Amino acid sequence: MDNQIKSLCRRIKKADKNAASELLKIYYADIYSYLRRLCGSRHDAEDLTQQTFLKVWSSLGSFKGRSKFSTWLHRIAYNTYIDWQRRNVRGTQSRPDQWWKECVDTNPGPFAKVAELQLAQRMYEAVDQLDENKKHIVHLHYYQGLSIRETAKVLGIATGTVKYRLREVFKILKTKIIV
Amino acid sequence: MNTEKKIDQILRIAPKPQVSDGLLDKLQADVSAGDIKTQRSALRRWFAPAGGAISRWRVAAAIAIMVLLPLSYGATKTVKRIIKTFEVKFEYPEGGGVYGVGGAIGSSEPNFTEEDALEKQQEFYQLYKQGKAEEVEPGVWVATLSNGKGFGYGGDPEMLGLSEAERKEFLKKQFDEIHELRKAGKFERTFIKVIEVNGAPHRLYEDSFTLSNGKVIKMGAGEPVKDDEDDEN
Repeated sequence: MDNQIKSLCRRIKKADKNAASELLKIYYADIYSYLRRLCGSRHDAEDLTQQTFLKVWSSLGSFKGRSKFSTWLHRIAYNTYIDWQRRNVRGTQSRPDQWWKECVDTNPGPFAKVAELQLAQRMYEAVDQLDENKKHIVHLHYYQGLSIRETAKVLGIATGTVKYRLREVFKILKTKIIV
Repeated sequence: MNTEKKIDQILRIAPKPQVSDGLLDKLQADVSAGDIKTQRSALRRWFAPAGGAISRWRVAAAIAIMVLLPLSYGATKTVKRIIKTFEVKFEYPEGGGVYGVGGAIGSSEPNFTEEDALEKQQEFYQLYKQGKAEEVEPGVWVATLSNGKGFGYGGDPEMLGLSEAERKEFLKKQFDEIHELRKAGKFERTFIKVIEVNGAPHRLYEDSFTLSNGKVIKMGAGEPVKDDEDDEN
């Protein structure tokens, strides 16, 4: 945890709302992106982002800084998503949509060539079709940029398991790239 | 570029979905409207394991409070106040276990009182007896109250029909048997997930005990994750 975040957390623990606002600005887009890719709808992602930060404000007082703040935050977001997913199975089940198209429409991103872009879209689609365990690894490690160790902490599994699942993911994705 | 590198590169530069206009304002409004808890929240204080074991009913109650109260499914509302309606604890020094069973009501209304909680709990119990409550998860019940609002209850609704003394006696017998089964290693353990308890990661397990009357009791048990697993990188 870098000094800026540590300092913000200290101020928030003293109920400094400006510090909470600053922390929000740093992380909210990242958490929204994470949840948006997972849950398949903008509306649900907004709702889940809101729930995540409400949990952060109510439990930050007990955050001891044993792990990085971003890891702790992702763990809350992950648990919020899992709870939502369990409820969703019972009620109106949303299907993951093609989130990348929403990005591509407004922002061509780093893919200059059409072929590159199509390949990337095939990869994202393939990731969405992975089983939940593997999918979470890709989302946290690649899309969110967490280290292997941080990914393991968020998911509550061993780093070896993360590495194993990543190897499995690559085996599957290779078959998509070769077609 | 080889295939693996290509995949690695594509995944790393995945585009970010655009954040909706107004989301930051909404999140900041939550900060302005709500109190940032500077100490442990009421839920966490209530939820904190007092020894070795966290009752599954406590876990279920917490799920019910956070997820199902006070409105319909899918519409999670912020719980502003939690009222503990009963709590019974049994300590077993031998083996270091503390078993607790609790009931709690949560509400989004900050002025929600203990009287309101007990009234709603009784209304829920009547609905349960009439078969109008639904068990949506093992130990998590929901019903729609006369005011049209959803009500969630974690635990065994039969407890609500007992007097305090009857409840204690019933539970004591049950926990004595569970404790003996635990000591003898006669239970099945399933890992559920890692949860935060007072800021520290704990592994949450579900232990399943089959009692002599054939009833299966599932209880949560928490064990702290070792410090070296939670160091900063």
